[in-house]
Amino acid sequence: MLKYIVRRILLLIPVILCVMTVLFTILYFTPGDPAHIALGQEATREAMAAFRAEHGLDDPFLVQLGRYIYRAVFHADLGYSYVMKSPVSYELSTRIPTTMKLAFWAVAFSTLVGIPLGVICAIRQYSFLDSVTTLVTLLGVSMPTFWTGLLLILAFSVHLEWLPSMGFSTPSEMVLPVVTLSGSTIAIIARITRSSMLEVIRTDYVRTARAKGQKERSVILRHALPNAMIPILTIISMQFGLLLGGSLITEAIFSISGVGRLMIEAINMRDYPIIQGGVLFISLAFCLVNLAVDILYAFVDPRIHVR
Amino acid sequence: MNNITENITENMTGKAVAKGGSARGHSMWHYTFIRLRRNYLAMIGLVVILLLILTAVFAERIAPYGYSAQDYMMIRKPPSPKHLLGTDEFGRDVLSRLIYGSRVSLQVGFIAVSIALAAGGMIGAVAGYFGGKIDNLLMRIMDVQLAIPTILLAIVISSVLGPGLFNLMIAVGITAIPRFARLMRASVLSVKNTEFIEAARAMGASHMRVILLYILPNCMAPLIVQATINVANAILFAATLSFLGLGVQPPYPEWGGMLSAARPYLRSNAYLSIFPGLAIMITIVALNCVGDGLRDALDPKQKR
Repeated sequence: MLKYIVRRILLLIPVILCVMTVLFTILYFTPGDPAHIALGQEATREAMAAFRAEHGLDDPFLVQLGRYIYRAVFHADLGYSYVMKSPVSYELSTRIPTTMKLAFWAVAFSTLVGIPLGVICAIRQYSFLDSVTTLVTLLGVSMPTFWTGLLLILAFSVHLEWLPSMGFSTPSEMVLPVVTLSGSTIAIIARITRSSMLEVIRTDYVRTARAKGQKERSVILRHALPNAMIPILTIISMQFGLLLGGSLITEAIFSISGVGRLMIEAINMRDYPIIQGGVLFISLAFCLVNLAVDILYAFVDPRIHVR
Repeated sequence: MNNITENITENMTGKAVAKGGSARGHSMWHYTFIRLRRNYLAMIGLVVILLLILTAVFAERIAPYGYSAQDYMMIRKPPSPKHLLGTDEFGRDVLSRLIYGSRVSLQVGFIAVSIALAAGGMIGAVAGYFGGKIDNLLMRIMDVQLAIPTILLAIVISSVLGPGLFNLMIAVGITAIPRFARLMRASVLSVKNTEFIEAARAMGASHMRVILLYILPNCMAPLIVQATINVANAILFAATLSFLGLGVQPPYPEWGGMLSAARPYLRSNAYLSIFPGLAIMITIVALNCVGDGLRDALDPKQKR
């Protein structure tokens, strides 16, 4: 098991290095001189030359790429934001906790709602609740995050005045962003849980469990659900990427100062080092979650040990 | 009924390729359509999409006003008989803008997916067909791309390319490539070693010919399902990028962009935020219904 985990972590390193290279390359060849962005359009030729020399912008592409990767790996230094006039790592680190909190609650909320919903629908297939859930989840996967957010603000902040539409520090401020971000994830988890449970419920061992007189509750929770978990876990880990992307939109709508909002500001200001660092951080988080889920598989399904 | 499923499975495994051309109307697609027709949700979705396509094509004739026609006497007026869905902050008719906006959404949806389908399909086919080092190299590249969450990659690419309809299509298209590549590769691997491929090679068909004429038709089913669902995704992405100001630029209407413009007026003019969102949702629901229906119809395991 330990060997497997170590191997997976080692395999992650080249992927992350490649992601860094790709991001650096894309943004390096983007038109727009960093010196211009940092110093403004009226900067003198000498000032710009000095700036370029100071930040090593005249070096060949490969030297700059190598320096970027070296500093990122060994000094956790992701470069310098010319617009915000501060290191990228610092800007990111002040905002990461907020984004993590948002993502964590969104995953927790959508799992806690999505799985029971899917299980109930599978047990009561074709019931009224099942039909309603099927319809609602279909709408759920089809609503753009930003529209869900706007509608929730409209309903709960503007009309009912129950919840604030901005910020993310108090519990009441957290409700709307978390629900917004979880919306489509709940729908997807519920759908997968339903179909996965339906498949498992028809298997022989579930019939055996029933035949030997197990209570329905324990048949579902102890015999069926654990066996239906693999596809559910897969979809949760895949959704995590979408969730991290969705946090950009959610943070923008609810004015939450997390990594997402930082990146949107960076995009508008053409602050490439920040974009680069932000995408790198989110990709790394995404990969780590996928890795964690892969390891979880082994606990959920002992057969995976054999490999 | 039994006959139908049998025929479909036979077609799926590729044994019927040779006779497929001569037996008209008995192809896999014929039976797929028969199955699809029984799925009323999918049929409603199909009708909605056809209506949307017609709307996009005939936008000039249907729209009551031009998409940038401003009426300064009618700024942010709620729905009325004259302006069925109201007017926006420049006094432009929201309904007309939604109608013109369908052009952007459908174009981005279908063209971005075509780009992804062509590129991803090609990469997957080459990787699966030739195997070995090429396969390893191509699939590792796809893995790296998959490590970056798709919507983020789309945002990065479009912020680099700059705004505009064409760039939007490219950005959204590129992000969908790995899915198609993986799917195509898996399908190719499953038919690569069958006898009819061997026979084609023995008769002197080139690799290109084998891939295009023998392997591709046998991999179409999963690709088409994936493509339908991806059109929905692409439209959502395009709307998201436009919402962030990275997509199609004003004054040309885009549903996501309209929502973004409506945000300051959420408290005073809520209808401005509701109708574009509804348009997006209806389109996506319709595409998802068709996608789900197609998947069920093409799945030989499902007997109905």
